[in-house]
Amino acid sequence: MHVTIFSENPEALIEISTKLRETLPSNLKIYGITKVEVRSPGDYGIDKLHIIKDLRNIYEAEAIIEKVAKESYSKLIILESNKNNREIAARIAAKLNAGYIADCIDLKLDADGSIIASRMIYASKAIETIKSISDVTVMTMPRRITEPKAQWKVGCEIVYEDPPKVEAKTTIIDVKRKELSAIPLEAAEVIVSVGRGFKRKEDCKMAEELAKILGGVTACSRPIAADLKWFNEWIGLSGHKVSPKLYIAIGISGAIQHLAGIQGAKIVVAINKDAEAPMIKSADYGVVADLYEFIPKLIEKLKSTSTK
Amino acid sequence: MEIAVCIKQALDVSQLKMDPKTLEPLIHVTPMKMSDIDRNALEEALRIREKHGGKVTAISVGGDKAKEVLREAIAMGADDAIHILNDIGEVDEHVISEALAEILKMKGPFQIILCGEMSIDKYTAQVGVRVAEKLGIPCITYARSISIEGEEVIAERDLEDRIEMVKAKMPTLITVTREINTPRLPQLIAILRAAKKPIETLNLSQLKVDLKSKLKTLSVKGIEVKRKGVLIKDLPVDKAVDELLNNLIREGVIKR
Ligand SMILES: Cc1cc2nc3c(=O)[nH]c(=O)nc-3n(C[C@H](O)[C@H](O)[C@H](O)COP(=O)(O)OP(=O)(O)OC[C@H]3O[C@@H](n4cnc5c(N)ncnc54)[C@H](O)[C@@H]3O)c2cc1C
Repeated sequence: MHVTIFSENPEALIEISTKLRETLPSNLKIYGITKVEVRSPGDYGIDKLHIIKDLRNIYEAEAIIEKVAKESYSKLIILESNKNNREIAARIAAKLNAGYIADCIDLKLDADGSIIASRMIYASKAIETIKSISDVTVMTMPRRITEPKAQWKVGCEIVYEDPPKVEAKTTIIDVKRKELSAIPLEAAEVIVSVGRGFKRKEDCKMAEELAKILGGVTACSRPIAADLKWFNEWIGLSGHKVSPKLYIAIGISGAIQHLAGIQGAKIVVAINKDAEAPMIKSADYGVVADLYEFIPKLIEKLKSTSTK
Repeated sequence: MEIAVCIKQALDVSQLKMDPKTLEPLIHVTPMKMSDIDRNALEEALRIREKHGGKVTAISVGGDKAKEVLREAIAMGADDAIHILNDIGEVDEHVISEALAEILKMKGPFQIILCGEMSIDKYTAQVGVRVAEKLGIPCITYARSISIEGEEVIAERDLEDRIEMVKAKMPTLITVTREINTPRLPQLIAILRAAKKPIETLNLSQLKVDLKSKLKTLSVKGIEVKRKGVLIKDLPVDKAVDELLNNLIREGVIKR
């Protein structure tokens, strides 16, 4: 089977190629497309790599993916999951009248050669297994579905290309960068997470101090970032899905969309003044207390024990 | 300004329960509701109409009960509603978008078509984009604000690491995020009036589009995340802090 994979990010690219080598039969041929050099792409099972250095927008990405997929007779097209790529994937699927499986976390071939994939649905409460009866299948795949492994040693042909000329239907007139966490939230070992139980932005300093003492980072629920804009990144279904050793949810009610982001956490602590909050019930340790009393004491205790 | 909004009646996932033995999701006893983000799309359509005049048409593909969300849309302020009755059983996003595009062509032209960025139950974020492609019009995804200037729409796209301001010539399809607005509550009198309003219904099977799904769901299985559920309550703050710290040290997640 021939597969075309796309990500601007070489790390994501080799994760996807590793996943494919691990799950699909050996007659696989992988055509990669990315923006920057990839170190020994052949080791990660990529047979041919197209590097397009000045890929400017989603329409150019779409065009190059379509071109490579067509020329390589790919039956499967996989893009790294992110917002822009989900749009590109859906549009390619529409053009090809193809099935598009979003955020696929696992795949295999059925006895009849068709693709079977799984993805999370119902706010990550369930896994759906899907069979594709599409001629070509389009997919997006999230980061970290597997560890990249440099063990396939296929010879990789590398080609450098200019971006294809395409007409953009929308025009970007301005871009504002968001300030992101220094450590990616997905890699953090301890996360102290802030919810609407915090009354003022200044109060979040407590959470920052706690995170610092515990060697972790801060994050939040969606309204804190999306509505109040106190932070830029949130945890949950529509935000980051994290798997720290310790997740401390402070003043977060524990809506299922929030819980969907912390399924991978080892230990979950909830601090909430409402004993009935779902967060308390979905925690390993649920502390029923007012955060304004509890957190300062917790910080004090941690400081006094660490200086002893 | 002719505005259309595509609305899905979705599973109210916050009320979804699993069969404790088989982990089978108990879908048939779970209530359905207007997908939250589609409600934001509808609200935005109403606001655009309030500012620029025109008409708002709500469209939904779904079983007989999907009429309920269309009634709700009318109660919120939509002028018209079209129900594409799904009379062929489970279909995928390809078929849904074929059907929506067909109706939008039939009932149009619309200058603006709004959708939620994704539905709250399946979360695939593809129907809006697919519909735009079928109609051959520009698509702006993840909009957290929309403004109209002459023939153009300008929107702020909310991406992971940046906000992109983009413009496109109408007609355009726009998918919106939750942050774009706070939807209004329908008034009782409007709800009563909407209950009487006839809703135009077309059968999905009668549409001249490709009705063959490309994807087929084989199974849906619930996942259980087991947490210890230790409760620390009714203790003086001092004691509660000690209790928590002792546990966390024992778990090995913080250092002594
Ligand atoms: C499609 C969709 C996607 C979504 N995606 C996400 C997502 O990815 N991530 C996400 O987080 N949300 C998401 N949401 C929103 C989610 O449903 C909730 O609305 C949100 O998580 C609530 O945030 P919160 O817990 O901070 O606020 P609230 O629900 O308002 O909870 C505040 C909590 O603080 C407690 N509290 C108040 N004062 C104190 C005090 N002094 N001390 C201790 N506790 C106190 C209260 O008891 C309450 O439990 C999504 C929603 C939808 C519809």
